[in-house]
Amino acid sequence: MKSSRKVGIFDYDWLSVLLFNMLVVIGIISIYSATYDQANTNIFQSFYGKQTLWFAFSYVLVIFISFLSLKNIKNNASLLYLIGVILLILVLILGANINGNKSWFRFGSFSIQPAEFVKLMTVLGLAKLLTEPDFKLTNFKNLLQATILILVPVFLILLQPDLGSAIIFLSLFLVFYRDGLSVTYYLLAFLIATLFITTIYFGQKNVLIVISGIFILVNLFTYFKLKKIFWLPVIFVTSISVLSILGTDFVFHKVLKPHQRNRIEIVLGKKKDDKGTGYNLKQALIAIGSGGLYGKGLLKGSQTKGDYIPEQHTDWILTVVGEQWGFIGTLTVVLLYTFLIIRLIFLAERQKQKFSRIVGYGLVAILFAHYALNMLMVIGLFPTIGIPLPFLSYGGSSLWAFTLLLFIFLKFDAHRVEDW
Amino acid sequence: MNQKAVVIILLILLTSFTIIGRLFYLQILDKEYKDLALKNAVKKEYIIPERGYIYDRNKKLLVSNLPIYDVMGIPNQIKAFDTLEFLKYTGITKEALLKALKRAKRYSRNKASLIIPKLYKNEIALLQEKIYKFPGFFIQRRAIRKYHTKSAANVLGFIREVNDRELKKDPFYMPGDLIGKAGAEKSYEKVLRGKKGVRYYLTDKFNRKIGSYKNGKFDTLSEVGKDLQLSIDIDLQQFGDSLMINKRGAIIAIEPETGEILALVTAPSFPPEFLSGRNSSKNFNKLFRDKVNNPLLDRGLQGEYPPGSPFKMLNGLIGLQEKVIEPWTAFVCNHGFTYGKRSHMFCHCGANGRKVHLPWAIERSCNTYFSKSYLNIINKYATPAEGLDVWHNYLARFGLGHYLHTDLPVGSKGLIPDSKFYDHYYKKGHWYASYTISNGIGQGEVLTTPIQLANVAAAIANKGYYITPHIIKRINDSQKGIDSIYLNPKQTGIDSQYYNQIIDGMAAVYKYGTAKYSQLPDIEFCGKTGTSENKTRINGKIVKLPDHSIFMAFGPKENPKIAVTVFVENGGYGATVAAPIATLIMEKYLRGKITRTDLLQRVLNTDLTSIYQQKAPKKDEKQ
Repeated sequence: MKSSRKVGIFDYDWLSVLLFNMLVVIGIISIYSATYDQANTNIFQSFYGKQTLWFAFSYVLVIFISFLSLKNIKNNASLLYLIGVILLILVLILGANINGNKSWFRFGSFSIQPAEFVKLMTVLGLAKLLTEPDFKLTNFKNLLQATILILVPVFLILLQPDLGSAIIFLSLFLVFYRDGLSVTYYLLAFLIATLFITTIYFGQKNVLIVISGIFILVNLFTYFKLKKIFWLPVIFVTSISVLSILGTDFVFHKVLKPHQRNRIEIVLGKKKDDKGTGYNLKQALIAIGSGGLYGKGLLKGSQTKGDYIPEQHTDWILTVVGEQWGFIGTLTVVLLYTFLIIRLIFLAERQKQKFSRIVGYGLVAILFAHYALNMLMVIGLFPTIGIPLPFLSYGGSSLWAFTLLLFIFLKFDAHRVEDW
Repeated sequence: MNQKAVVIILLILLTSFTIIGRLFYLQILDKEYKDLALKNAVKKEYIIPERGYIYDRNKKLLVSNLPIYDVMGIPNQIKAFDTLEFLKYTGITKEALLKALKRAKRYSRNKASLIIPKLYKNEIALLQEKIYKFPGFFIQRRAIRKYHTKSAANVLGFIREVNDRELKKDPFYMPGDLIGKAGAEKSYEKVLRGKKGVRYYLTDKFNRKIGSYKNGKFDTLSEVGKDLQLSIDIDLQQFGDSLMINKRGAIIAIEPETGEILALVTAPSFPPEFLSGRNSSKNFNKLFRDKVNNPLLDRGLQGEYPPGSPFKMLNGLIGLQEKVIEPWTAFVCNHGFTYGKRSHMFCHCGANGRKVHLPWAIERSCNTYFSKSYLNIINKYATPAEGLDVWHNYLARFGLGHYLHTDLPVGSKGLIPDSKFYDHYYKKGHWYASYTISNGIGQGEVLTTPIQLANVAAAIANKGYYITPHIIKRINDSQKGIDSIYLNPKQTGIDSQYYNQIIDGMAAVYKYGTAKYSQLPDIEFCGKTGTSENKTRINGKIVKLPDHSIFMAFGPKENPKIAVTVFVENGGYGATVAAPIATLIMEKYLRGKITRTDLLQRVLNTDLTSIYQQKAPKKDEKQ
């Protein structure tokens, strides 16, 4: 079908583009603050110089997207997903080994992290699968297919191993909720997660006693009030609870690595390790906490200038904002993300096509997971995992992958009135 | 809008509010992180001021500072380097270098550790030029004491690194700081050390400086330590050292009018530079372990000896003041006298049954006279306890039996018994003056230190008062900051008229008495010889050793300028060694030169080391 009117650059949602640009610029200034004193005199070898370059190149990608046909994207979504999976397999074979992780392809001094781009490809693949005719998430077979589609990259990424990126992919299950999956699954997942944490915190025996008490009380209540016992759900929930309580010990001690165990215990306040595993978090909290209301000013942060925080320009970039611009700065960044994500939900909701709405929700899920987990990690509410803050953190792969995903969706949105 | 979209938006808002709440708590409510950030990044650096110089009374420089260099290393910043070249420049062995590097790594990878300590300027010159070749290494300058004299180690003292106790006691000090450990360095530590400056730096996580903190708003300047001018005459001190070669003992010279110590010689001694510089620790241990010679003991201040005959002057003075004798009171002396039932006090004064009066008694050191004088003092009162305490109090006012409170950190009380002492020793009310008769002639229980005796000489020379002996003369050319006890006279409580007889008697000692062979033709000296018996246990047997030789003197008789006490362990009769030494010291100080070269030669040739070698290493039992 022919398009009824010509779509230009101004039909892209200007608010989203503005928020995107603001976040990237804040990011570049923060990267500059974190790394300006490093020995590189050549601006294009410095981190902020390179990030600026990649920001500029991301607009090349935007122009490239504007030439793509949306129909082609949709039709080739399955192929793109396949290519993504192949990339993840290839990186396990050909990838450079950096700190024991095989997450990067290296081309000379230039390296690329395929997992970042596979996020985009998986979102497109998922949109394609969910828009297949007669596909229903309420159908168990279809649900299994969709779940496998997400879990294949998760599994491959865990082999690198890159726990952080793998967790991000799980956020795509949020899309299922919007597309009709029962809330029960999420409540069960929430129950399991809660039991996992409480079991680590209070110990297996205590949690078992408390949970048994709660179930007995609930059953007595329903029996006397409603004169009925819901046997099937009771048995199901009870067995799930008991299994997850009993499984916690196994997962915690056998599956997780010692440093991951440490990080969980540090967040739960069960352990203090300011010199070892907890060093990064401790220094991050000092940087953010010492920023106060207004911050210490640009390039005036002693934590930042003194390089107290390893990986500050990548995963821990929020500490620069917190130290230099204080609560005003961090609040601004949080609000920018919140506005952007909610704006994207609005955009997704106004899509006529299911495909583009799913792409929108995929973007929302991944962006939200990155934003939330990174910030919660930096402020000590989530165990430390390697997840960058989108648009702010240094890194070309992450910036480009998000740019591509964002602008592909914005292009869908710009063409929303058409039947492509 | 789709209801599920609303749920998702709520989930996002909930998350964002959680994050904002936590950020609010961290950044606004919790103030702890501000301090932690400062503690992390702002490092204090102290600027150690130069320590004050020390001069002698004639403004001769005794102690200054010498720059010395430590090679420091920060393990994490050390890159592979040409070890051979490094060794060549520094002159240390490969093993020593490797050991130091290993120790440094163990201490801290990011903090500087000492690699090679205490190199002198000429030893560091080569490395200083080539230090750029050895990243991670740097040279730190600090100062040690430089001594311009080989003498007076006991007066000057030395400095060492502070120990844990001192660190706890005074927050001024940081680990590695230097502190005066003895002598003037210790007594006047607060004057000499000056005031530290403080500089605040921002540091990175490797503890490297990355700039000043708030443009130096909180920095303070250091203040150089104040200079000391001591009352010591270094030439006299050195001369005293030379006289004491091959002897043990002490020479104390005091200017009576001011209480200033002119010389404080202890023998055997060591040059002060022994405890400064690279081998100071080793040398200190060597001195400390030498229990035979005990060179760290300041015999002048710490040695407690029976004073012997010079003590008779005090019994004479107290007797006059108490009016139990008069200047022309005469006692019969027949080779001593018998007291109590069968006891006899021997006397060698040669009176042979004639009457003896005070000046003659002094000249000939008559035991009878002073014992009787002592007995009369005690027996003047209703009970011997009362009498003895009166006597004790007189002596206390001379500074005997108590710490003298000189401005040097060491000293001894000596012993002047009082009634309590004998009440404890015998039984209350069961002792009599005659039991304690040896006190009358400076033996018995009485113990004094050489400086106490020198102070007595000064009090006699002043006819009734003394100023607490001290080594300080000026602080930064002013008397400000000197303790008032070193400026104000103390009265002895004995009328000055009574001193004249004592002084006449002491002058006679030089003219006709025991020190006759030491006199000078043109200066009238006053003195009193002393001899104190001592025994020691050798292989379980008590062996009598040659007596300690003592001499107390001042001069000239009119308007005295110097009071001296000389104490030579096992030097024999007072007149043989101690008297010539005291006379030479006084001549040297008053004239600046020695005319009695025969006397000098005799003293220099006196070698007592063979006697000392007989002594058991530790015990020196005094009788």
